[in-house]
Amino acid sequence: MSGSWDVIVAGGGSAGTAAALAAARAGARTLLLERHSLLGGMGAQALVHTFCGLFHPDVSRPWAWLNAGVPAEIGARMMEVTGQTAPDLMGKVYVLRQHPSLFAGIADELCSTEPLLTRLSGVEWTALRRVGGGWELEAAGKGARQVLAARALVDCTGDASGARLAGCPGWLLPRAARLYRPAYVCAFHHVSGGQDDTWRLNLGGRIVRAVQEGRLPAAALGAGFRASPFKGEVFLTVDLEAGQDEWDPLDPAKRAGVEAEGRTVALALWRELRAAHPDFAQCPPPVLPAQAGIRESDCYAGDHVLTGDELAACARFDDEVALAGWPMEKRENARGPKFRFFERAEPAGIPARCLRRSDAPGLFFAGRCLSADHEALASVRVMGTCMATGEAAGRMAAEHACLQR
Amino acid sequence: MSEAENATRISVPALIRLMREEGVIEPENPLTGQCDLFACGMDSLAMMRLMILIERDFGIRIPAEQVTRDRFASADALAEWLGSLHRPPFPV
Repeated sequence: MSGSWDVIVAGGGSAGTAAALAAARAGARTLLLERHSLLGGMGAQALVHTFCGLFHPDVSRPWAWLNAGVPAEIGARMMEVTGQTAPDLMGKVYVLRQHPSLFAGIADELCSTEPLLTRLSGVEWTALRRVGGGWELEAAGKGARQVLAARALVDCTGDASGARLAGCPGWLLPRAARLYRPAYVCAFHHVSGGQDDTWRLNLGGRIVRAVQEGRLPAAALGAGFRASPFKGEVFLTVDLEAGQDEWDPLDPAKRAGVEAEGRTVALALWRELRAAHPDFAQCPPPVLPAQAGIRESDCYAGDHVLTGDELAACARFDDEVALAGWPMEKRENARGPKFRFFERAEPAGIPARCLRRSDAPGLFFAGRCLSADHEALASVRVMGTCMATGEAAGRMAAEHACLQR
Repeated sequence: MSEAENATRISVPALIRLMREEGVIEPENPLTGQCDLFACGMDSLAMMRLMILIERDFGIRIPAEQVTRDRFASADALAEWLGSLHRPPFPV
């Protein structure tokens, strides 16, 4: 698979899938690299089961798509395959429940109909260099290395991996003192009961008691349940403290610790609830995620750094390429979110300058690693917004590649 | 102090102060007894924290299996429920 491409997209999550679709649809020969086997990123691998950021933030009006194009396309298809006709109104926001398996399926469906789009699975990039007017990268998988060249590159790894692979740490924003905490999500099946607020609160009360009585680890206090669009299935999300300030999602040893802690808590909850709660009596062991959900790691420093104050003020920009509408949902500990809402029920713009750097022509970034400060990231990291910034970066990369031809 | 005596100290202002000081929920406007706590960010995580804090500060034991949405819907409703838990069934 060595060869030259117009656009290479690294990372097949919600941003990368949208970027690859957009680039291919714009006429670019596009290669999408995914290191796992499922497309959909956090929404497939980590079982994150809500699409946030898909809808206009004014909940006093009927719901409306915030970004046309790939986000609306994926959202509409998800509604269709899950039998939903509208998003849920949760407090001050519209949210669409999504199913991770179906998200991966939709991503496959959309990608397979693009003749200019090629997907690689199980491939991790290991080097990145500027060559001539474009980019050359090395990718490894199953003991084999290959060299790939592209006129334009889109980094949708969520971790700004390209900056480190290119040996350019100066392309990264300084890390926040305290990164948003990871979440461990798993799926429980054959769960009965109403699964309404009372049911969830009641479970919470039982978990508190089981922790106090030593039957569950303290980390179970970060647990919450949410119903899947499918009857009998419930998703458990455990927000993890992940070693307080020392949490570094790019440290493999710390990652292993967090993954193991998530599994331990999830399985302990399963044992406790199966034994003590009639609605869980028929519940087989939960389906575990391929990885924990990561909310923040490294971001690029682009030509503009989007700030929390700009989002709060619903700032708009001449060069905006996507809209953000999700409140800043800050999760710096496992005790629940702190929200900073936009000052008006209106979206804010995301400028093209947040998706590129002028000293790295042909490199674009989107999704969780676009150029946004710690507070703004709490809004733009959500999947609906990642699809929108991914689509924009894919389009920008295709335009750049066409100019280089 | 007995649980019943502790429970008499549970008032709407005391619950609001506890939620504010501990940052259980972070409403945009000051909380009142009637505020819909769920519209102010109450969810099962916040409820779990609040349950632990109430038990710590007021020395009572909340019957976990009796927790409902309505009982945590407002500070008024919560104070009323917690007060009733330890109130004798008729005036003595």
